[in-house]
Amino acid sequence: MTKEIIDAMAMQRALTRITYEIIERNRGINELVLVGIKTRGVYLARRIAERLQQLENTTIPVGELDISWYRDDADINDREKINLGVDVTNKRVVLVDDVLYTGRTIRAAMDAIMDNGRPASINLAVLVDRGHRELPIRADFVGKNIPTAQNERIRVNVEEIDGIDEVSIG
Amino acid sequence: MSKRYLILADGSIFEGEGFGSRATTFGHIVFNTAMTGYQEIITNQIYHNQIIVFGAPTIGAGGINHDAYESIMPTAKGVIVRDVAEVSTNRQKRMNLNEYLDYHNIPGIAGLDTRALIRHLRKTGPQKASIVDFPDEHAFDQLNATVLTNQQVAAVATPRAYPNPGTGSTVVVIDFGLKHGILRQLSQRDADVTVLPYKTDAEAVLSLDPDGVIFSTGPGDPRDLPASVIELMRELQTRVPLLGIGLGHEIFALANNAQLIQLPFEHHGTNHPVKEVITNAVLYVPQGAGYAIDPASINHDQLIVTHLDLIDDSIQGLRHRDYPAFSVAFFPDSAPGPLEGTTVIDEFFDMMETKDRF
Amino acid sequence: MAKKALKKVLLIGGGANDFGRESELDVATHQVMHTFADLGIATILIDDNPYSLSLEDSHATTYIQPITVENVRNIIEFEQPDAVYPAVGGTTAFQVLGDLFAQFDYPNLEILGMSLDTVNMVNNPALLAKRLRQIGEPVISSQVVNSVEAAFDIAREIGFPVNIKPMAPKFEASRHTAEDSETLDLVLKIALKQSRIKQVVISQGINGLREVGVQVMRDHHDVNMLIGAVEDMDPVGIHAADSILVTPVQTLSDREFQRLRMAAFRIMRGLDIVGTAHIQFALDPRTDRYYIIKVSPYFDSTSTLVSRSTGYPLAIVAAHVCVNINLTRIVLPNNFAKKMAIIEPVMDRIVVKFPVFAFGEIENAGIKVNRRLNTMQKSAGSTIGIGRSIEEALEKAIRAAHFSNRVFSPDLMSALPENDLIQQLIHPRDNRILLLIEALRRGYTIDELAELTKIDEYYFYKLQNIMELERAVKRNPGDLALLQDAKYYGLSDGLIAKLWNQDFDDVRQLAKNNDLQPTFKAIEPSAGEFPEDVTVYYSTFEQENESERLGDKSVLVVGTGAFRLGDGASGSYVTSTILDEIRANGFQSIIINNNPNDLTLMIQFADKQYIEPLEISDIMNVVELEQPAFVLVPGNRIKLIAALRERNVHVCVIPKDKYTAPGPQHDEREFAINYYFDGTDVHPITITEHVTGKLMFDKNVYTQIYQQKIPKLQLRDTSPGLYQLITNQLPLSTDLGEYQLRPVPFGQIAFLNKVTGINWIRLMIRNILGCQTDADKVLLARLPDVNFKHQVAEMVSNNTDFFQHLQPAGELDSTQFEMGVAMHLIK
Repeated sequence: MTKEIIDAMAMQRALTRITYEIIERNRGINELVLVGIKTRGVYLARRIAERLQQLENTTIPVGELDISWYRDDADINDREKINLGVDVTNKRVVLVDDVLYTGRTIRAAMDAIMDNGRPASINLAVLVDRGHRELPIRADFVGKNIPTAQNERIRVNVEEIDGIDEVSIG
Repeated sequence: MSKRYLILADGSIFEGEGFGSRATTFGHIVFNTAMTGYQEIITNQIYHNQIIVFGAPTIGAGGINHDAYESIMPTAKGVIVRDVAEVSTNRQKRMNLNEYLDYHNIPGIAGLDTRALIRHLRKTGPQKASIVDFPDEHAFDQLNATVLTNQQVAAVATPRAYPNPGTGSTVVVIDFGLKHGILRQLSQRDADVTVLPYKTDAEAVLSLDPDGVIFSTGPGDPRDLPASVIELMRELQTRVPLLGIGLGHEIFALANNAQLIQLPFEHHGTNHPVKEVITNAVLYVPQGAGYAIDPASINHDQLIVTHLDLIDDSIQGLRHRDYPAFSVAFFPDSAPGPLEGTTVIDEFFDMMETKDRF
Repeated sequence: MAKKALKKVLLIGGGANDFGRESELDVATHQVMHTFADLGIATILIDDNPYSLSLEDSHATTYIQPITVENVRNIIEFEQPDAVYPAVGGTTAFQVLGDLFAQFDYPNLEILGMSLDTVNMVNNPALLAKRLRQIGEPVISSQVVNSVEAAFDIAREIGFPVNIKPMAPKFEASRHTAEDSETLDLVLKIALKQSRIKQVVISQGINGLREVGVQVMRDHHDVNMLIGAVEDMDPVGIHAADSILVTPVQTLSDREFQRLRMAAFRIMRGLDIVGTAHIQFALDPRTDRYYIIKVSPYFDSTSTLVSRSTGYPLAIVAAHVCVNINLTRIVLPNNFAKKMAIIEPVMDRIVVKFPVFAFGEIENAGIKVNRRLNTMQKSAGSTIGIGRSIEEALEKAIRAAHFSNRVFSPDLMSALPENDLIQQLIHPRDNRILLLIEALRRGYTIDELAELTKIDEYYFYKLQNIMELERAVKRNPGDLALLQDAKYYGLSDGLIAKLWNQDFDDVRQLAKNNDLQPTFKAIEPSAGEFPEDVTVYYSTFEQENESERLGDKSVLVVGTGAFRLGDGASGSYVTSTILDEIRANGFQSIIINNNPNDLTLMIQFADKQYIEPLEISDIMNVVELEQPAFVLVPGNRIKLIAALRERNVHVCVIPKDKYTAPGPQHDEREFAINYYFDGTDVHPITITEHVTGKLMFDKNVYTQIYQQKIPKLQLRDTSPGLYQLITNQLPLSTDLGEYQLRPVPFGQIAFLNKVTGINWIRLMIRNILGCQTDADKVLLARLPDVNFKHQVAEMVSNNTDFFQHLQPAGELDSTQFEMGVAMHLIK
């Protein structure tokens, strides 16, 4: 039994708010780079970039990150440099993902970014923070905090690939 | 019913049948093209000292209802309409519009060529007007001699604080003559509300430990308000999530160094598309502003333009770059009007929920 | 920007006219076609309605073929369109499209404005209800059943009343209501028969609730607009087409109204409809709940009503958004204020739509019908009255419906026994407005009447005003203040003259002498906020007149008003063609008409439109303002023609009989020799043969065999146009005394136009205007030896289910009481 907890309107609103908060936090958008974590984080990052484009008439670079090879449970020697598609050195990077859970994905993502260059700062934006952190990681921008049990499943759908904007639990 | 006249400062005379109170009144004349919500419009305090012309051909069909007040004491100076429904609503123990206006000493004129009047106002712009028994020289002399007060907020805002308890977020509303719709929206979201008079200082507001502060709607030119109001806004916007609505939006702009311009052509109604810049979404919202923000005066390092009227290009929303503070020129509580603007209230609540992160 | 690939769009027409299908689809088709042409998109149209103007339009490739899966499939095969747009073809188009996609796969054919799922939901109420429930919108609990027994199981569970609606009906079919077992048994049989898949939907009855229709627009970018809302004065239980409709809504609070608006937007989003849709709600004022009755993502009579009433160019905008042009980017024709496409229309006028029934005509033919109004449409047409108050709009709508004030005179119902009055209050008939006024006159209280009729009290106050005003006027002949009031609330000169026992001209003169002149107001969507270059006007009695005289070379055309049985869309077709031809010859055309679905009220056809009743006083008001070079009046308006001529108005008559004659009986056949009269000479065109339900044309057979024997017809003192000699005798006699002479009925002219490829109406207008071309003269001289476009064709009466709608006691003549026709090109 799945239950919708964020509908399309609320998701739009959350992304809008996160966009404004990014502007607030960074005192503008100079040197800003968005990096989306595959798969859905990329679409969310692009939507934030679209919003920034609308507001500031400036194109913000969006990088894409596949961290499946960067997980700390993978063999460390398997790591290869992956191309983010954007330069992060001296940039203020905002990492974007759909769900923040244990924090391991984010840690891997930060490693990957560091492997690409030396950013001025890294912030984290997530659509949903469901708790149960295993690492000392905290999101700077959160769409919604959703308390969950370990065995519950959070599903984020985005229109670009799922045909609908929705967060459900079940 | 007997003949009564609407006279305009430009010398025009319009004839109709009097209803409501028999008083002779003076006010600024303004037209509203909304087709529903006459009670909400008449009781909105933005119409303090205003004579309201309804574009809708007939009003009053539903009488006066307890859930459609936007204030307890309406302070409009007149209601002009083509046709007023003379329904008897005794069965429901409600007043009809005629009785209501009489009770509150507001005169009305029906049977007037409101379309001709609106087409005239469209060309001549806002001006003083008077509702009189005889449109003679004396009446025009009186009209010309009348100076309408610029202390409109003082006439309609609450002089003392009052609570509207709830169990959710703590919200302080600074009252400049607020619409009840704002309180209704807050109640629906279970907010714990305290309404404070506009002469409050920041310390008094912060002592209530609010999750957020709203600067309310109200009548008149914000530049006629005491300077303390601007100071209050400047202080609070750095401390707590903040939303300005209507007059509150204008105060927000002034506090952040933008300038106001008087609109050559006031739009009062619910049918203009307003674009939310960040998403390109289009909303239809209730509007009723006499002033707009001069786009040239905006310091873009300080403010972001968030909403634009697609018809007259007026700025309908602003947001501070550095603080969780924003404002809208329109009425996001609807009442009357489309409900899509209520997402602004949702955004304010989202903002309060996440404020602890800063 | 239009989609890159979109170069060619197929429009599926609506087919023959029928109950609930006037010219509104043709109106929409015409505008969509022209908009597509402006956008560089080619259009293909399939339809078989001879009264379709769009089928003659050069902006489309047209196929005069029955609208079947087979034909549509062949056209798609041959034309390879990129997309199909079903919204201009009503339920016919949706069903054909649904069937087509169920059988065949068209990966490269896009459905404009919606998905196939949505098309299927429109065709299947159960699917729609399921989807609406999914998105949280309330629908009446209902179930699909395929047998009488299963239906009774449900009825026992939900209780009476229940509504029954056929699934996938063979034609537009409405709900049936059953309040008891006997009725349920009967209506189930009818409904099961109507369903192509032998299934019906049974649902809980909602009679007595209030009905409100909302017209919305949505673009690809999810911008939703409310274009207009219409409230039914009558409760749910009376078909919306038979209801008295009022726009803008009068009796809803802002809160109630905004709730419906948001629900409508959610539905547009939930069904992902791009373009326009009409969504009908039932409101229960006691429980403050609403239910969705129907979602129509296609043009219908409500969309036309809303477009006419608001002045918002609904079809033009819909055509833009369905090809993915955002509302914010639409560039409208110059008449409209900039950006008007995206401003929600507001109104400073009230529009009342009044149904027109054919009961009287049928009963005059000796056939009894069931006059009781229910969920099955009974009206054949409708009119609108526009004014600045309900009273004025209602008075004008009623006058428009009846061509005269007599019906609305206060004494008409005084003889009705009390018992009948109460019975008719509870079970309303076509005359209910008079009945309600009579009940008020007899002292029934407004509360009682509101309870009995489920009509909002507000309307009784308005009717009371009318009643009291008429009383006062009657008691005080010559009273100027009352005359002013009477004019203000829409009482006609004719009615006032009757109440005062005076001559019509005396009343008019009195009004004129006291400066009580009509003022014409523009119909535009901003309630005066923006200046617009408007051409549509209605009259009221106020301060400012906005309509200025067009000029010396204007021609006023008197429209044909409401559709009636036997005389429907053909009048609309003929008059719109007339208007177009007037303009083509350098004259300015003005139309006065009041049927919201009529082609003539499209702003594209005339330089000016007056939406007014068609009584002598209304026409004289326009004549006095415009001083047209002449006035064209359909020949059936004999009294009007005389009255205008009495007042020295230069009238030209469009040949037309006063009454539609019955067609041949079952075992008879009729032959008509059709002639064109150019004012001097009579030119034979061709012969047609008429049997019950079918008019046939075969160039070879009839012309070649009988050409030599065609009697020489002479005409004098009559207007140019088409005339026919009727006989049922063969071989043809040369003795004119053996024939009946009459103008060719409008419907047959439409048929002849399409079959011959010669537009006889345009020829007639050039004749009347003195603008005959050399080609015209050559053509007339050669008749009947000219090549026609088609050689063999027939026009067939639509298979209208009169029993379902009217329950007549006998068979209705399919010519005299024609509801619609289809044409077949055979060669």
